[in-house]
Amino acid sequence: MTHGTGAASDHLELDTLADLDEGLLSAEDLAAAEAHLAGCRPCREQQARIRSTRALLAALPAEPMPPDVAGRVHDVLSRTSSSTVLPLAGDLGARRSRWRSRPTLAGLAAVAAGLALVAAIVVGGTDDSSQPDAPSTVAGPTSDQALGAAPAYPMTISGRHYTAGNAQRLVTRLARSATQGSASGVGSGAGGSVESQRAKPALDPTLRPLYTSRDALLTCVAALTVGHPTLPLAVDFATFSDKTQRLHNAPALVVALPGPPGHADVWIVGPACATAADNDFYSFKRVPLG
Amino acid sequence: MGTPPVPSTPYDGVDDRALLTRHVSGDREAFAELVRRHQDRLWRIALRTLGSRDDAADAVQDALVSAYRGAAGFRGDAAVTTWLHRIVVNACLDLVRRRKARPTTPLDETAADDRPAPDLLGSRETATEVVAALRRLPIEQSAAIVLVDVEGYPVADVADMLDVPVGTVKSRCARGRARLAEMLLHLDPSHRNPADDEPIQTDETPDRPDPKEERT
Repeated sequence: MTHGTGAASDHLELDTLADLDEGLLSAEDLAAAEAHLAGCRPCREQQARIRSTRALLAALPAEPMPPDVAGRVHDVLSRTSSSTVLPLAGDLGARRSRWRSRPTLAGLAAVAAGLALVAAIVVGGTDDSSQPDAPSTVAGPTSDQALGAAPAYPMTISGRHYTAGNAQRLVTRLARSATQGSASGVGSGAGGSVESQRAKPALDPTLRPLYTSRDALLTCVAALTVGHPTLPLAVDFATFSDKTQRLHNAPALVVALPGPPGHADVWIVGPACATAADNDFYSFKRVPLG
Repeated sequence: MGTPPVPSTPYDGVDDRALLTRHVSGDREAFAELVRRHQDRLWRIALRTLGSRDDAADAVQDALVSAYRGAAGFRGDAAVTTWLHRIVVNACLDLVRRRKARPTTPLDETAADDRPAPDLLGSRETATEVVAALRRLPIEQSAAIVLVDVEGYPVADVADMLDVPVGTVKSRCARGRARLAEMLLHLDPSHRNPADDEPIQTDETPDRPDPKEERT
C-alpha cells in the first residue's frame, strides 16, 4: 500500500516495511529502504504503525480457559482413560475426582433395562406388543413403528469415514435427519431387516453385537452418559481415522445423544464402547442442531 | 471468572516430560495434570487463531484427545509444550481447512474482550478490533502471528510448532502484520479523522456492539 502525496512509487510498501523489521530484505533492498526512511516521514509513520500493531497484539488480554470448556475437556479426557472408566452417577459434579470404581456390568445392564422400559413406554407398549397408533414413517424416539422389538431411534450403517475434523458436519447431518424424521433405516433388537444406505456398506463384524442387540447398544449409551438414561437421537455404524491416534478406518460406532437445548452430544467409539483396555474412545463433539 | 483453584497434586516437581511418560505408563491422572498446566495458553492460541469460542473449544478438545491417545508417539525431540502447541495449531488448521472458509463470527466472540484492556490499548474496542482483524487474515498468517506476537514464542520454536522453516514463519508474520496494520489504520490517533470514528463494518464481522450496552 502506498500513500501520501508526491510520486506514489517512491514510498515503501507496507510489506517492505514489515519485511525490513523481520530481517527479510536483501542487503541491497535494505539499504534502499533505510535511505528512503531517513528522508520520508510518512513512511516512518507507517513503520511505526506496524510496530504498534505488534504491541497491540502483545497486549491482548490474557484469558484463562473458560470453566465450561475446561470442564468439558477434562470430562472427555477422563472418559478416555482405559482403567478409569466411568464415574458413578453420584460423582457427576466432581469432574476432577479420581474415579475408583468401575460400574458393574449388572449395574449398567440394569440401567439399560430401565432404558428399554422407558423406550417401550415412550413408544406406547412393551416389546412384545404391536403399536397400532405409531406412524410407520416418522423417525425419532417417540414414534418409530415397532417391529416386534424395534428400537425407538434410527440406526444406519453408513460406513462413512469420520474424522475429528469432519465429524461435526457428518453428525449434524445424522442428527438432523433423525430429528426431522428422514432416517434411512430402522433396526430391530432381534436383528430384523434394515434399510441401509444406497451402497450397503458392510457392517464390521466387531460392531455387529452392538447392532444386533438393543440391550448391548443401550448399555453402551448408558456407559457414555454416565448412567443418565437417554435414548440416542441417531446411531451410525461407520469408520474413524485420526493420524495422532494412529487410527485408519477403524470400525466405529457413532451415537448422537440429546445435549443441551439445540445441541446433540455425539460420541464416536470403538466396538468395546470406550471401555476396552486398548481404549477405544475416539471422539466427542457437541453439535448445534437446526 | 477465573480458573477453579487447583488442588495441590502429587505432581508438584514432576516435569512435563515425566508426566507424559507416566501417562503412557498408565498413570490415570498424569495427562489431566499436564493439561491443567497448559490449558490456558492452549485455549488462548486456539481462540486468537480461530476467532471463535465455539471453534476454539472444539479444536482444543480434539487436540487434547488426540494428544492423550497419541502420547506414545511423542518422540521427545522437542519440548512437550511444543508438541502440544503443534497439535493444537494443527487442529485449528484442520478445522478451518475442512470448512474451506473462515467461520462467521458468533456474537459471543466479543465476550472475551469484556474486561478492560490494558492502558496501552486505551479502549475496550481496540482489543475487539485487533481480534476481528486477526480473524480476517489467512489462517496460516494468524497462526504465526498469534504464536510470535501474541504469545511471544521465539521464531525458532514457532517454526517447530508449525513444522515450517524459520523463514516461512518470518514472512507469514511480516505479511500478517502489514495486513493488520492496514486494517487497524483508523485506530492510530495521529491518523484519525471524523470518518475513522465509524465502526469497522465488514462482511465477516458483526456490527460492533455498543460497549455501553450490557452484555449477557
